[in-house]
Amino acid sequence: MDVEPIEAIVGISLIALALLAVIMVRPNPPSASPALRELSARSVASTVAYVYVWRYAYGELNSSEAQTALQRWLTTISEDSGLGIRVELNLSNGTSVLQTSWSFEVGDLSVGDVFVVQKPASVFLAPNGTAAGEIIFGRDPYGMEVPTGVDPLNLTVAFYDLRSRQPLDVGNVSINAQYTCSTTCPCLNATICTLIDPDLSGSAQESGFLYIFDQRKSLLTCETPNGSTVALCPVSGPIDVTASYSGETTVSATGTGTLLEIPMAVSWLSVSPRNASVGEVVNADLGQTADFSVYSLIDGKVILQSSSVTSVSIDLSDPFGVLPGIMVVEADAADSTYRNAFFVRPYILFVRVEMGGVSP
Amino acid sequence: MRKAVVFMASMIPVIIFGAYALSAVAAQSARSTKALESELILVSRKLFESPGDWSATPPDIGLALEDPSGSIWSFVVDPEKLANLSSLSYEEVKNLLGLEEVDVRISFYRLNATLSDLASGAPASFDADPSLVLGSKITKGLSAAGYVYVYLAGDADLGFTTLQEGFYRVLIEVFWG
Repeated sequence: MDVEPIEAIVGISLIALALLAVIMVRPNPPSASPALRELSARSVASTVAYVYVWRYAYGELNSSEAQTALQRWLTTISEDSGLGIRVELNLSNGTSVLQTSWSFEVGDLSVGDVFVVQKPASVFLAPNGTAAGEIIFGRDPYGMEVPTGVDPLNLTVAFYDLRSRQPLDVGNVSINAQYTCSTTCPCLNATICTLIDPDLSGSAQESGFLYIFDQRKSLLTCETPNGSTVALCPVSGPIDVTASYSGETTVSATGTGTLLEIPMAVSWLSVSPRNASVGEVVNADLGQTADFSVYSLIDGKVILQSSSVTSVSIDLSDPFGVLPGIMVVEADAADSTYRNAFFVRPYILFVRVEMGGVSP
Repeated sequence: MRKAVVFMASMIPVIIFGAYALSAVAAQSARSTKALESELILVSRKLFESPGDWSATPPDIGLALEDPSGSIWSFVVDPEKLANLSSLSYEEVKNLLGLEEVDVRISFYRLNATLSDLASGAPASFDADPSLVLGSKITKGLSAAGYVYVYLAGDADLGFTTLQEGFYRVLIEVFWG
């Protein structure tokens, strides 16, 4: 076949242009080199740590929402990058690391190289000096039986830093309670009414950086002209309580309990230990059947619920079953609702990311 | 004679192509992909793993969030710092990143779901087009590219656009050519 000169020139020019284009075209897919994959893994670890600390531990997400959000985020990254990802969240109290407390895996890690990154994140926000206090009443309502007596004013007071949610340094806490008392004098002997005193005051005892008050108000009664015995002080109604803390700062807390003529408590909700670390188990025992819930004093976020039991064991090993700061244990029994409190010391979250496989 | 002339004329584009190819390969041998990857990682460390110091002169242009208690959150972007970065010229950014012969381009691809959406189990994916591109508009020559995944910790008002708080995939590209 005889090729015309013009055709030859055009053909060779086109070939040359094609080859030229090959050199000039820059390949744009991200490199799958080890260093760059490690970079991606580090970024995944950091974003997971941020979501845990700022959006779960100190944020608005509850346990279920936080886990779902992280799983969706990791699934999206895996689908986008074509890489397998495994994330483990492990807790540490500063001395030892709990192993494999929570994990999630997506994609295929069985082929290709896998790169592992581990990132610690402190689950603690430094105090900002803004103190607050809150009274946790041991029973709601308290009971009284005439003429037998009145439930002790059993309560726990927490004074804490608003940002860190951790208790303030140990200080002195005084309690002043004002009961509701009779405003009339139905007594055969009117002089008894001069003894009416709504006040109950005293010092609270420190226990694990929380403060316990457990004093009993004497029941003042009298005989009426028709021969019955009636309560003069206290009587059914609100109990106004003020707790005052003096230590690293001064701050007070107020709250209102309720006293009713119902049978007095047979048992109270006990909590041990009050000052807990991750990895420990906090035991709460009421001694009668109740529906238990454990929630943050600060934002009400629930970490545990259990129905129709007499006690609960709160295992602080699960990253999504623990929160930093003061926790309230509430037991809703047939006769009344009982409460107590403990607090979780700051802890460290270790985020371990395995990222690998073969990129598409 | 005619054939010889035609042959020589047809060799001209081949010679031109060959000369260009040789010079390009010769130049590329001076810079390997690994070296560019190192530059890419340095860019990432400087921008996404350092909080910077925007009050200094010249500024240290880190984007990492520093929380109220002083902790540094790498790969969590401070929206104010991102706004500051986007207000700089490309040459300023190149100088502050310490890049001399290398060009850089940073593209932010938004995740089409908020954290609340993810928390409710909604599926999500990254936008096909970047919401923000910073850096060189020209992309040619030897290059390295890598992805990092970041969280923008607040809406960033960049003047010409607003980047919403949320998750982003960031493509970092460095070029030499």
